[in-house]
Amino acid sequence: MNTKPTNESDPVLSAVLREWKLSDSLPPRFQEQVWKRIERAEIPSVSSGSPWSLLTDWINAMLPRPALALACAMILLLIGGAAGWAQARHETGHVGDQLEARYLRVVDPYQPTD
Amino acid sequence: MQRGATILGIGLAGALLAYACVYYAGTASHRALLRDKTPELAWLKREFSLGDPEFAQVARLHNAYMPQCQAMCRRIDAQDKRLKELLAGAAAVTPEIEAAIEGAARLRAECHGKMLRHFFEMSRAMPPEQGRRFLVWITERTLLRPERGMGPMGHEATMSP
Repeated sequence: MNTKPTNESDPVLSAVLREWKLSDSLPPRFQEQVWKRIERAEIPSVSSGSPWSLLTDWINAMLPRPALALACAMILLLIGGAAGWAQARHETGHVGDQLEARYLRVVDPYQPTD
Repeated sequence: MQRGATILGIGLAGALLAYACVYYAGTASHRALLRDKTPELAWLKREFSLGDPEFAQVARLHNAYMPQCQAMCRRIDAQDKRLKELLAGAAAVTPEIEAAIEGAARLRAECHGKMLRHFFEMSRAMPPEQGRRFLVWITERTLLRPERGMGPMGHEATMSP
């Protein structure tokens, strides 16, 4: 893999290559595009199996990528926090209503006892 | 276990932890209310933003009112019991039933008068703005309850189909 093919055995070819000048410039963001293609090629292809194995293959393929793992963790934390906040809000509202009704029953003999 | 599943597991555990932390923090003040000896008064303190000296005065007034209220409850129960007994054995409205109904109405008026005096005392013990808010709140839920037919909407509410 480390051996480079050389043109030293063919002096004519070497001379032509030395004279050869590239007139076209590289397209914009050429290097970045090349790296993206390499990255895509390195992702293992998903197997064709059950939906569960497709999902686990996809997770295993995608999550080790740091950016996606971080995004996934943030989304899960946000979902967990939001669910906790909503549940706490519901509970505190319920407790508040109960205590309000309790106070009213204590001070008003005609308050319904339901 | 593969790396992706491990990361997902850690993420889910984090989500559960975030849920528990936010829930615990969000309900802490109400759990403290429920641990109080008189949670309904602790709720009142919180609801009407009472400071400690104001709350002490409110609690004193409340505790002084309680024996009167309980005595009134006993009289109302006795009156209701008497009316029920009269109605159970009657085929028509008798003078005794009419007297019992009038007695119940007088008792209710007396009870409402005492309640209202107590509510005014309570409102005066609170900061002015909170006192006004308390008075509106308590009268709407006691004396002006639509079910009683006493408020401006009460009559409509009880008569509508």
